[in-house]
This record gives sequence, C-alpha cells and structure tokens, in this order.
Amino acid sequence: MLRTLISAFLVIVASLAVVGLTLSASTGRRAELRFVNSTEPKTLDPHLITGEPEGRIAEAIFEGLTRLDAQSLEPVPGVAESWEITPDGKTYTFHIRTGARWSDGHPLTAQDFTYAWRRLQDPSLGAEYAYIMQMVRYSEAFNTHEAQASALEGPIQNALHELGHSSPGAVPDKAVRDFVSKQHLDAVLKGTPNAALRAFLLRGPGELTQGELGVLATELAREGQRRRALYQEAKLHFGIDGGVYAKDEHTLIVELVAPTPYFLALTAFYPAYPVPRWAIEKQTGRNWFLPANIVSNGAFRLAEWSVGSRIHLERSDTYWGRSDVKLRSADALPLENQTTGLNLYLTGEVDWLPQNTYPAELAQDLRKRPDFFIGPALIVYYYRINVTRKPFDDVRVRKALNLAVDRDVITREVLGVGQQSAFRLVPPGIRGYTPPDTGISYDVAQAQKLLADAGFPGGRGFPKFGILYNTLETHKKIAEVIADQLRRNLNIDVSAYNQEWQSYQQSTRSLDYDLSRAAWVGDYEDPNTFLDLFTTNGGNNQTGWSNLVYDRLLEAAGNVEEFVAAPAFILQHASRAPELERLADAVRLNKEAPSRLKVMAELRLELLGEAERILVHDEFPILPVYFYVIGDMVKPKVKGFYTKLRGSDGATRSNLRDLHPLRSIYIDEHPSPRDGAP
Amino acid sequence: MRKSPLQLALQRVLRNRMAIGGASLLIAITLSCVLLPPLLGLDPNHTQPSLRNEAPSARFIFGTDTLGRDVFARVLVGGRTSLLVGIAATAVSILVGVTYGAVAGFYGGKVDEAMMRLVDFLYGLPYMFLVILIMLMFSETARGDALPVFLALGLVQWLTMARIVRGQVLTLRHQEFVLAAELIGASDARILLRHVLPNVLGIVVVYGTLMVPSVIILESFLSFLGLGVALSWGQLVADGIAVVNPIRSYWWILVWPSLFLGATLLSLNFVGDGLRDALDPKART
Repeated sequence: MLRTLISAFLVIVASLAVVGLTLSASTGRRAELRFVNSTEPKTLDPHLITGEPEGRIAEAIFEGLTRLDAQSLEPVPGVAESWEITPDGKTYTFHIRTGARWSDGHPLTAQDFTYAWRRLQDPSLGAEYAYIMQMVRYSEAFNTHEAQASALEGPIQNALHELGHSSPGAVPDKAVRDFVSKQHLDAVLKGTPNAALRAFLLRGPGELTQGELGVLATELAREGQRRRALYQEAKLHFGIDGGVYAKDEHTLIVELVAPTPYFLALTAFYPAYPVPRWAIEKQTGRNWFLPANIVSNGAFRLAEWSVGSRIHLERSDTYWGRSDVKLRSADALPLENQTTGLNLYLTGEVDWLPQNTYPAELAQDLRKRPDFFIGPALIVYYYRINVTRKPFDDVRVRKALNLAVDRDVITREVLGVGQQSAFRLVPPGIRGYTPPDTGISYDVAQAQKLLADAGFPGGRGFPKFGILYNTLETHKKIAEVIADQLRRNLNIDVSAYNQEWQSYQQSTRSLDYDLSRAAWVGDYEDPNTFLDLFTTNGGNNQTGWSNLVYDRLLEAAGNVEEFVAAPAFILQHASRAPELERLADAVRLNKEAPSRLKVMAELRLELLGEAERILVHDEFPILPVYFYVIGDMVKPKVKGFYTKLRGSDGATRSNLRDLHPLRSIYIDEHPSPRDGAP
Repeated sequence: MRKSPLQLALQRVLRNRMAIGGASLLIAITLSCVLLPPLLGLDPNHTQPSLRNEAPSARFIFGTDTLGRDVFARVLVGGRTSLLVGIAATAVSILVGVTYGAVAGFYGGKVDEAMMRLVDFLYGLPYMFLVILIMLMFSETARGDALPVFLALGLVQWLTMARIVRGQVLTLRHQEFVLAAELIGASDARILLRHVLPNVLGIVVVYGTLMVPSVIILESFLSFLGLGVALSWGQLVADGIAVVNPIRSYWWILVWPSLFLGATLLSLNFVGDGLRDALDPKART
C-alpha cells in the first residue's frame, strides 16, 4: 500500500516537473529590448496587415526598396541602394543592392518585388491596402476591373432588365435610385471615361423612359467590355513588362500613372515590401508567416511567436546592413490590459510602452516623469457611421450625431494631455495643407432640430443602437461618455459594447455595426493618407458610404494634370470653384517645370481640402472625436529612439507618426540623460 | 398537535441563526437595489468627467468613478442586474432541468439512456464555449442586455439539476404510491405532477438556492470578460480593478461593488445551507 502511494506520488511530481519545464522553456530568455505591443497580431503577411501591432513587427522583419531613417523619418536607401526618377516624375528606376538576401540565404532580386507587388493587387488575395499602391500603372485595372466587368455584364444587366419589366412605362425615380445603390454603380463605374454613364450617375431626380433604359443597358455593357479588356491587358503586363517590372535581377522599373510626391515614402511602407514567393507557394493555407515557415528580409527575423505570451525577434544574420544593427533581440508582448502594461514597465519587465498601452487617465500624472514623452500625432480618432443602416442613411441624422457630442469633455477631462477635439478628419500639422473651415461645433439645439427634421422629434421613434469598440479601457470610456451624451442630448437609446480585435475587425468589415470606433494613423505625411480611406471601395472605408464627387476629387488630386485638362465636373460641384479655377489656369499657363510643379502641388492640396469638406461638412459618414497626442514611456537605457525628429533640412519636427524603427534602437546600460529630454 | 413536515422544516430554518442573518441581509440588499434608485432619482450612467475619481463624500456617498459617475447609483443598479440574472437564470435552469430530469427518470429505459447521454455530452463541452455560442445568436445590439445572458446561463446550468431530479425520480418511480396511482389509471402527466414532483421539491429548492450565487459569479465572470450585462456587479468589479495601479488608486471604485457582491454571495450560501439542513436532513454533513 505504502509503495503504491509512493510511486503514485512520484508519478505526480514527475509530471508536474515536466509541465513546469515546458512552461518555463516556452517563455524563453528575456530579449534585450522588451516592449508592449497592445494586441496579438492578426497576421504578419505584409500584404494583409492593416493594424499598428502588426506593422511594428512587419517593419522589423521586412524591408522595402526604401526605409525610413529613424532620426528624420525621411526615406533612405533600403533594399534599393539608389534610384533615378524621370523629369516627368512618372518613372522610377531602382537599383537593388547586390548584398540583399532573404533569411534563408536566397539573394533578393527585382523579381521578388514584381511578384510581391502583383500579389498585393491580385483580386484573389483581397488585400485591403491594395489601393494605396494604385498610382502604379495597371495595378488598379488588375485589382478591380475584372470584378467590375463581371458585375456590369451579369447581375447589373439582369437588374436593369427587371427594372424595365417592373414598370412598363417610365421607371420611377425611386426605383432608379434603388437600382443605383443596390448595385453599387458608383463603385463599379469608378473613374469611367464614358460620358453617358458619367451623366447618368449625376442626374437629378426624374423618371427614366424605356428608351433611356435601353441606352443605359448598352452603355453599361460597353463599359463592362472596356473594363474586361483593360483587365486582360493589365493581367498580361502588370508585374511582367508594365507598371512594375524587372529589367534585370538588380534593376526594378516602376511606372506611375501620375507623379506622386510621397512615392518614396510609400515604398518604405509594408504593402510595398517584397515577399518570398517560394515560401508562400509551399504553404497551402495562409500560414507562411509563422516562425517555422517564414522567410523575411529585414533587420530582424521572427524567432518565436507564442500566442498570448510574446513575439521574439532576433537580429538577422542575412540582413545586408547587419553591421548597423546593434540590437540583438526584441520581445513584443501582446497586452490589452493597460494597467498590467504599466506595472510591467515600472517593475522593469518592459523597456518601452508605446502610445495606448498604459492607462490614459494616468497620462496627466505620468507626464511629470522624465521618461515620458508626449507630442502631437498624425492620428485621428473617429467613429464610423454605418450609412447602409436605417436611420443612419439620413444625412440629417448623421449630422445631428456629430453636433451632439461634446468633444471638449473627452479631450480635457477623460484624456487631458493636450489632445485636440476634432471636427475634421485630417490632423493639424501637415505642411502646406489648409483644412476646410466647416463652422461645425458642439450645438445641441441644432442637433435636436436636425433629428426632428429627420422624423424623430425629441428622439421619439429613434431605434436603439450600439457603439462598437475594440476591447480597450480608453475606448470603453470614450464610448460610454459619447453614449451618455447622445442619450441626454438627443433622448435616444444608445449602448456601448466591445469585441476583441479580430471579431471587431470582422464586424466593421462586414458592416455589422451601427457606430464603430476607429482610428487612423497616417501612413505618410499627407492629407491623402486620411482622405483616401473614404473613397468608394476603399478597403478601410467600412462605412458603406460612397460619393461620386468625393471620388472624383481624390482622383483629381492623384492626377492633377488630368484635372487641369478637364475640370468641368469638379468645378461644378466644388464649394471654392473660383480658387480651383484660378490654380488650374495657373498650371495651364505655366510651362516652366519647377514652378509648374509647385502650383500643381498647391492645387492638389486644394482639391484634397474640397474632399475633406464633403466628408465633415456635407455628408458625415464619420464622427471625428479627437486628434491624438503620442505619449511613449521609454527607459533611459533605450537609445536610438527619437521623440523629436531632425529633418535633412535641419528643421526639428514632432514624431507625428510614433515610428521608432527597431533597426536603429540599441541598449546602453549606463545611459547619460536622453538628448532632447524635456 | 402533530406538526406537518413543512412546519418542522420551517422550525429548523428559524433555529439556524446564520440562515436568518443571511436572509435578512439579502432582503435588505434586494430592497435597496430595487427601491432606492427610483426613490432617490439616481442615474448610474450620467457621466460628469469633471467630477471624476472623487472620494466618498456627502454628495457621493460611495464616491465617483473615472468618468464621474455616481458609484452608489452604479452599485445599486448593477445589483438589480446581478440579482435578476441570478434569479432568472436559476428559474430557466430549474424549468429545463426539472422537466428534463423528470421525464428521463420517469420513462426510464431507452428514453432515459438517450436523454442522459445528451446531458453527459453537454457536460463534456466547456460551458464557456456554450455560453459564448448562445450569446452570439443574439444580435450585436442586444449584447449588454440581460435577456441573452440569463438565457445563456440558464441553458448551461440545468445539467446538474437534470441529473439530480432524474436520480430522485428514478427511485420514486417504483415506490408503492406511484404504483398505486398507476393502477387506478392516472395519466403519466398527473402522476408526475401530483405524486412525483412534490417529492423532489425539497431538493430542487435547496439546489436552486445554491445555484443563484454560482450563476451570479458566472455572470460576473462573463462581465469581466466583456461578455456580460453592461452594468452589473461583475462589470463594476472589473472597472474597479482597472483603476488599481501603482501610480494612484481609487479604492472606492473597487471596494463597494466587491463588498455588495461578496455579502450577497455569502448570504445566499447561508440561506441555501440552512434550507438544505431543513429540507433534506439526510444530506447534512
């Protein structure tokens, strides 16, 4: 009996020991730099990433043609050691370093980029960031035109046929409008040169005769054929001998549709990273980015990914610039609980707390510490309004919501470290950009009146709705304050509810919400990075909102020359038409390259201002809340970490995007006070 | 005068000081949760960020939370939810569990076999998984409402009840009085309702009382995970824990809801123990 007991005891002890050893083995040893990375990355496939937590890792393990210098955040040579740009600004020739290698030893070639950029645009991948690179020739046609052509030739023709049958005489205005919105005609016909279709999309209210219907059917079919032809052409050439192609192993040619001033900053951004074809094609599922399979080309390699515990990065032995990389290893901890994050920092378990990883209400106390750095950010916090749901399809309702939220209470009392209340989308501080003057402010009386006009006097009959946010303390607080303000100001029933990051993304993507919290971190310092979110079909639009004039304005900003050649449509709908006309004339008359480019740049920002005005003055698919400040907490021993930037022109600026490339970070165990410390 | 079993049981409960104390506290908490908010005009959701994190004072006797909401109002209104969820979910599970267990035990044989295997199967599934699955069937805006939560909890909690009742019914099934009722031609429904169920009532009441606190805890746990009711004690405790940090702590945001939750759970357990001792003396340990 005793012997049985002893052996049972031994068995238990042994198994406990095994469990203990396994657990301690999986935590591994502490990396040189540890930081909190607010949430578990959803993927590390550079083409499918959209979030910041993923971006921080991807930036460390991959590298694009260019990379951003840590001290200036200006593009500097990355995989490409040099490049030439043609005088018209449309063709780039990149020279790939001969020393560039993948982590498995493969040499990195121009073909890796042509494969990657074609993959990003491949409709079957469904990359949300595809649009950001669509100034590259052929890419938009390759990405969108086949689906549009199929819609134009199939379901849209059928719907049109039905429309004609349902009303034997003229088709009533409402039926026509329903047809347009149900078939997403705005989206499908985006950028069409077909004059008849353009006119149809812009028509005023009125019936449609059977004759006009017939013409429409023909034109739509013709447009379908045109798009299919363009797609076929793009499929044949894009990534092979057009748009982006390899002249030889070390020379990559990129052709743009129009000159793009920020293109070299984009090539440093993760949608433009190269990806390893052989590693992706070997895996059948989308799991090539797991540590066992991944092949990458950045300064670090993904050594371990323990879900819920850490992502462990180690310095890559194959990186071309490995002698510049001083940091040996880094751990990114997925931590949604901000208090835990702060505890870890204070006890020395982590060295860096980025924005949003410590409790926001403590920022007022924390800012007194010498290791806390705060400054304006290129980030906007806003709520999406799902315009496909009633009653949010009514612009008056959306405007009423916008007017009924007192942002100052949130920025001053809830956040309180210098955030600015937002009634616009584009954060202040972008050089050269003047935001539109909307005259919108907190105004409960007007909000109530608008709600009454929309058929809900005193909030009566307004359906109960929800505000969706992803699980995080700060988001919860803001959602509860806004819900309470709407409840009391408009007498409507609002509740706030949360979902963890992945289901939250699912819900917003499938428009399964009423209002949802969102924030956008500018990908480059230009209003375009914010405004092109809301183009029809934009992967990050996620409101269901679509506006033809808005789309045209962004197209025009993307290709100013085309706008100057045919400005009529935009001038007809613009609020500041005379100013636009003046600039367009100036461009037309000015033949000297440098000053002409300067006027074009001015006109471009003017067009973007018009677009923002539609968003935050006329249409309100969003409810902007505030512009971030970025507060990082970082230990003095972490060096190569710049909270103030110094540009190549010598001017100092804020680190608006909170970018701190791991490549240049290093640890100094006996630090002197930080440069630029407050 | 001879006393009926019920009178005897009542006498035993009244003699149990812990049970009486628990019951009084429970009644006091319930009454204040139900009556005080409307009487005092308390609004638990009124945010006044300029008055945030105030310590208990004459104006806010429990203090205010990080958004300047009255903690007293939140604790009382949150208590309504927690108690309602506790009682409603228990009612759901009693309804489902007793019916299921009684039918299985009464018909026995293959019916019993099949029905109990289903119970075993459901037991095998992690209950959290079931709860989340049930919650997902409700629309997103209903999340944060009480109905999905107590349906979900009730539909998960009935398994134990079904097993207990089934065991009891299985033994009662072959007692002489049931055979007698069968012989004089009473219908199955009548036998179950009039002769079998009254005899399992005691045990159902006892387990029901003990189930209320476990349901309240489960709901708190769900709230803690962000799946529960928008405003309940569990949620308040979660909020309270979020503000306990090394820089500054606002103890009142955590302590009050925890105190109420703890006191209620303790009282319910005392009452449940008292009832078990009284109604089911054999189970006394």
